[in-house]
Amino acid sequence: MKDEMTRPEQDHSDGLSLRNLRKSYGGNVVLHDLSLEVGRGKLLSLLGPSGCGKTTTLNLIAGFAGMDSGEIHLGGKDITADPPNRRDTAIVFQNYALFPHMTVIDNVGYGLKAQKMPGKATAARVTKMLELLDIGALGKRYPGELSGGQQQRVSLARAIAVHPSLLLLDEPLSNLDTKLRQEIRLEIRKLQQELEQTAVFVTHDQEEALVISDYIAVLNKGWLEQHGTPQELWEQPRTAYVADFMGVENILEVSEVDGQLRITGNGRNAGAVVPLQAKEQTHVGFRPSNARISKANLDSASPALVLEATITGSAYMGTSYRYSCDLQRSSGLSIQVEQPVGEVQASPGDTVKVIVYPAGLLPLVASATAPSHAA
Amino acid sequence: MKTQRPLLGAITLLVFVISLLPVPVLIWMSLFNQSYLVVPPVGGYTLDWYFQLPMQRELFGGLTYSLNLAAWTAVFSTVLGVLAAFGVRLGAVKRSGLVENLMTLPLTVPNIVLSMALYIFLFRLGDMIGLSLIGNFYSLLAGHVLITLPWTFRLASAGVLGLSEDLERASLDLGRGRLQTFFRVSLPLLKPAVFSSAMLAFIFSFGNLEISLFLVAPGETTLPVAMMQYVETRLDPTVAAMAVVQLTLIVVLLALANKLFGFGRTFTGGLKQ
Repeated sequence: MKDEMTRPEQDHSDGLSLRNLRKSYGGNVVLHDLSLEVGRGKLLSLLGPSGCGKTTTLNLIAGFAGMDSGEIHLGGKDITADPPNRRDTAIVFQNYALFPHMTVIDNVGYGLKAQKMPGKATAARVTKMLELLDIGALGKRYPGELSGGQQQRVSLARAIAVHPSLLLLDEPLSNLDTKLRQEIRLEIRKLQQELEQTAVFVTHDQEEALVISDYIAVLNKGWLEQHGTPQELWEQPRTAYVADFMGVENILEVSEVDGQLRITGNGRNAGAVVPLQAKEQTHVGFRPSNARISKANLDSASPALVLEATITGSAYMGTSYRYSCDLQRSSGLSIQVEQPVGEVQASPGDTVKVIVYPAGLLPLVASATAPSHAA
Repeated sequence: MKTQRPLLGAITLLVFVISLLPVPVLIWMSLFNQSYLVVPPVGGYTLDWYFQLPMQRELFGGLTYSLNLAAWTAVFSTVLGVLAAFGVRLGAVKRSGLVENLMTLPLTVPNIVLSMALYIFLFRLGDMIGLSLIGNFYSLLAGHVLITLPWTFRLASAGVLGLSEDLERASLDLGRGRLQTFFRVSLPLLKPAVFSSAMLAFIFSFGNLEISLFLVAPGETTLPVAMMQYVETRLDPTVAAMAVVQLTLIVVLLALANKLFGFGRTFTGGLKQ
């Protein structure tokens, strides 16, 4: 028997290419000039909160909605004008969208019959897919008789069965509980890599995007904020918005005062000098784990950001303490610090110094493309 | 039926009894051994009226004519109702309560007025184009479709609006065209709505007297019209016996259709979330 997993009949000389996609509803622009490339066999995540344009992008790729301008190329072919059924894409829906009047076998075979695949080959492919997703025993069941996780697997099997040039996943895990979500996302990733399946994955969950992706594109109100590998986005978020998404909880405004970059909270100079070059940066950010609390006086020449703060709360986290601190000399600016157990500890009310060394300090700009959206 | 609420149970039972009471009364009256209707019966009981039914040519002719008419009404009315519902959903008309409510407006016109108006309209139209448009099966069918359409549209609309767009998208996405998607996904999922539409149209058409009064062809009458003509001259239990036969027939037909189109399947329950 021919190995179903190899696909000599399909040529992915190119992956997906989105060129200047623009989409508006009424006068409301929901996607501004989005351009993205996904290499063959790679998985791109579209990350952002609801309303950022990620699902719209997915619908444009699948052909469910028309766009104002732009081009979509798949496998080196311009598919912009093709209707959904002529596009070599397969989508996994958030609500699974299994056909409730068909058995699991008929659901998975649905797309194959559309390709006029002979009955025997269809049956073989369906069996293979059910085995691949570990749902071989459920073939004769109806979707209404399956659990959420099982439905998700059927939905994946149905999409992968047609050997699409591009797999689209629309928040496929958001209806599952945490444990199942983590389990299935690893499975999706493994499957995608084994099959060298080009894929676009839509999610609002930063952790999910980091674990599953080759590339992540962060969207904000229809603008592409940043595009890169998970590592790049985690280590070098460019904008305050992306940093916020990547778990940089402390983001502070900066501005140039007397030739030096200083923290400014709510328009007031908080005093601290930022040990970074002033370019177009408007913010600095640091993760709670990259800050330390110190009670001693530091050498003022030390190349670090030093903030004077008052502890307002502390919580024991097992391997560390998490402190909430209010910055002095600024009205209402609050930061979070994660201090490892065993180092200096403080109690609420204490006045301390919060130190961040340059390695943990991220220079940020307000927003990449969107005008006047300071985070 | 076990219930912890005796009052609710009693009221439910009472409503059932009141709404179903005409049926046993009808059967009871069809057994009176007398050729005029007096309650209680004075001459005892007999099955004679049933045995004599085969001789009632007009009534039996009316029965087959009505069955035929009701079946075609159900088909046309349901097809039109489903198409209209899809049209509204696809945005052919701006979706608002207005369209739905306008569609039900014809129900407020007394059927007898509608029937007369249709008669005059078709008569005039026929005169203008030189064809006779009245007194045939087709004009009668048109009338019946007209009065059942508000119902079939309503039921189909409820079904169509409940259809998940994602299911149709999934089908398109997997390579099926619009037409195949309609017949393989949308329509099968609409089966309950389509079936209840057709059933309702059938029953409405079958029992309708007023629309038929003006539009029936001479010599070919529907059962209700034939019954009315019968009781104009005689008031014996023949009509009651005929009604029992009619009732039985409808119940059997519905049970059969229910079995054929299968409502017992669990899939109508939808997806588990």
